[in-house]
Amino acid sequence: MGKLAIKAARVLTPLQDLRDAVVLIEDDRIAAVGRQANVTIPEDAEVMDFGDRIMVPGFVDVHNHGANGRWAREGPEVVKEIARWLAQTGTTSWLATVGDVESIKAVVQASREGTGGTAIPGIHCEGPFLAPKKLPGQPYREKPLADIALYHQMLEAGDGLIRIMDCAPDLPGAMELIREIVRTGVSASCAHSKTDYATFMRGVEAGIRHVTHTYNVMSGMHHRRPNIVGGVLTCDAVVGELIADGFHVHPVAMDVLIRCKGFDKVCTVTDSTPLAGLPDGEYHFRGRTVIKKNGISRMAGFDETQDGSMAGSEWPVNHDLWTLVDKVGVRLQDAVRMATLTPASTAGLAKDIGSLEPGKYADVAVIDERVNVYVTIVRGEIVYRAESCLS
Amino acid sequence: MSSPPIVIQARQLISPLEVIAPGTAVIEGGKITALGSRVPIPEGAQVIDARDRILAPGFIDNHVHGALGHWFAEGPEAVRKIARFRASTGTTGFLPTLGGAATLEGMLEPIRMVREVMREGTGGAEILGIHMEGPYLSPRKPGVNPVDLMRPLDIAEVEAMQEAADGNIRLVSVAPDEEGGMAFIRSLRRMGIVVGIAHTDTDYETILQAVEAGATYAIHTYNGMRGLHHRAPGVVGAVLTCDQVFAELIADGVHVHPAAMDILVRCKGRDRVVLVTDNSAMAGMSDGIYQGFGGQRIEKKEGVLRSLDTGSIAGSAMAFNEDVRNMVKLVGIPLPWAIQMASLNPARALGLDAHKGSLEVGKDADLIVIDEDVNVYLTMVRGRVVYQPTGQQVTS
Repeated sequence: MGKLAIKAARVLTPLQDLRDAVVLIEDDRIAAVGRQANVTIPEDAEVMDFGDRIMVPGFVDVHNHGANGRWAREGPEVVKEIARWLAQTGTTSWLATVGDVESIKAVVQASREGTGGTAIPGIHCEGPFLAPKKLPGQPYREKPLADIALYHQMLEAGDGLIRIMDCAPDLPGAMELIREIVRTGVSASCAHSKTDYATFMRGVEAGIRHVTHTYNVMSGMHHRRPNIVGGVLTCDAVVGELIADGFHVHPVAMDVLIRCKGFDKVCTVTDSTPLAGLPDGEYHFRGRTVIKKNGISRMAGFDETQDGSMAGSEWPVNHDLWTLVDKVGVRLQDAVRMATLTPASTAGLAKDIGSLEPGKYADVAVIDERVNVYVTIVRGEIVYRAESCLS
Repeated sequence: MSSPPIVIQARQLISPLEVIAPGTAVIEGGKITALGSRVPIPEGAQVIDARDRILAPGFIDNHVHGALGHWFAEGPEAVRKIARFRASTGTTGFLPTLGGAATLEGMLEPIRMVREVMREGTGGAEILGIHMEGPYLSPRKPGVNPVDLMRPLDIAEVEAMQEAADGNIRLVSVAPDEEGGMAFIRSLRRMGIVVGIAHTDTDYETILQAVEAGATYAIHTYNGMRGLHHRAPGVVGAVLTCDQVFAELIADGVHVHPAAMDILVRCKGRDRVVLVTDNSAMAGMSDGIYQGFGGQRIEKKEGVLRSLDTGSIAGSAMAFNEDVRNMVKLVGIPLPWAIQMASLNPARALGLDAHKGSLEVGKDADLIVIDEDVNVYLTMVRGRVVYQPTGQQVTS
């Protein structure tokens, strides 16, 4: 691959905002980042100048089930296809989100073989250790057992790639499973639970360090019963995911989350499903009908005020970052931080990804002020280039 | 003949914007004339030795209804008794908080009476003005306020009240979703009255409109208001995210769970949280069953007040210094922040911070001597000691 020098008017590392900067890439790693006045570009380097654009670390999406008509659970070739589609959103690292042993194996295979698009440095398991949603008209389901034997099957299938494992802290056996997740070097995440504050905090004591889609499918904050949301807002030990599409969580509630936790403890996720990238319409998945309308997909027949009735998000990460800037008033630099360094850290991957620093993978997105994506570079290779790109 | 200067020497002076250790304050003519760690002691000064203690601004309570079995509306003696009790909890200034009545005259009478006591002085904490919590509240979120004493929003009534108060009505609680709410808020602002969003079951958008109309204050945040839902932020969501709004907090640990107290502090920061007692007549009383507003039976049990008729919490009975202590013990904020939330922030919210709310040269000598646990050893109002615990010296 050799040496590549990429220049732009601005670089958000995201810990610094550098003007007239350059990123030097050697093979798949970053060799230097700095202002053009300070960094010597080797004579044998290929030089690309992105002009007025902004270079940021490629986005890290730790919660994403699929896109463009496809689920991550559909086999290794489909996983690669999704990864190539995600490249156009500026995403350079994807924790493919699945919930069963077979799907884990498929993701591992795709990750090892390479995707030609977004890298897959890990897996997020959302399932099977979740409390069932209680939606009207749905049959009653018992809470599943937090089964350590099943977890070990998944862990083995994951072959070191499982980075985040969801567990509702109110399941029978949950505290033991959470301790086992922590013991095996995986980040334990509180997900899909309507339990109370005390149970959530016991889960944190057992080792919960991540929270899946904060506010959604979660017991809400009341001023005398803080519940899980109150726990997430005040407990600095956990990083809270935020679906920042502007629909799952009202911008004011996003603001509350960010005020309470700061940019290092809130990470954006897309929670994307196959309907991302598809037009409005009626879709059928595994016996369920989902209606996508005006960018929101909802399980057919449910009241739109009902928590848990949205069927995942249909927006790409760059849209979510623009929502944070435009609707919540977050600085672009901080929005980028919540989509790069924070998710990389919570997934235990910050040694290699999440910021533009020497030694890390050369994962770069070239964007503009409105977070339109022009170029995506994964480990030193350009995997996406918009037609309207300058160079 | 003027009285001699007073010098207070303390281990630590919390201004609260800075911490000076050791700290000395010089008081002359009821005002602070010098502050610092090395201040020369004027000749002939009376020296108060508090070198084991903390010197801090006195607390300002913008929301308090009574104490020791008395409500403010009962008469001048009740007002003075309550004011002296308040001084014993570290309070140097407060807004007697009055409510609705069956007739306008029924509201004007206590206002005139409080105004008269204000002119004559209380012998305890100073009356800084009047807070009307009622009658302009929403019957859909009444709390313990009797619904039959709530009245339509009528600015002519407020003008009559302000005349009776001689301009001393500082704060009026308003449910902005009541008919004519926004025009009412604009008129109150024109009269120079601070508008507090209170007792309202309305949505986020309505509160934003109220803030645009001039509301800058939220009454006992979380209590008597629609809560935060992640897709409908409600009144709480608006209060948490509108930086121009000062947010009252009843920090007794019962009205609001410590985690929700923490959320308020995280969202609003040290400059926008205003601690209040919301004390009822049961403050300072032993456990038992008492008569509340409108003849309701209120039970006091382990410091908690509950209406036996509705089951809802019925005001707080916790002393102000205990609320300040709770912010440190239950929420984990530093003591200077907690003191600021009980002194400078309430003064700023009312626009009284030119003379009140902090230890600064030129401001009134309203101050307290406390320890790390916020026990009160001395309370001074305009340079006059109004409280010292019996048998206790200032120094330990």
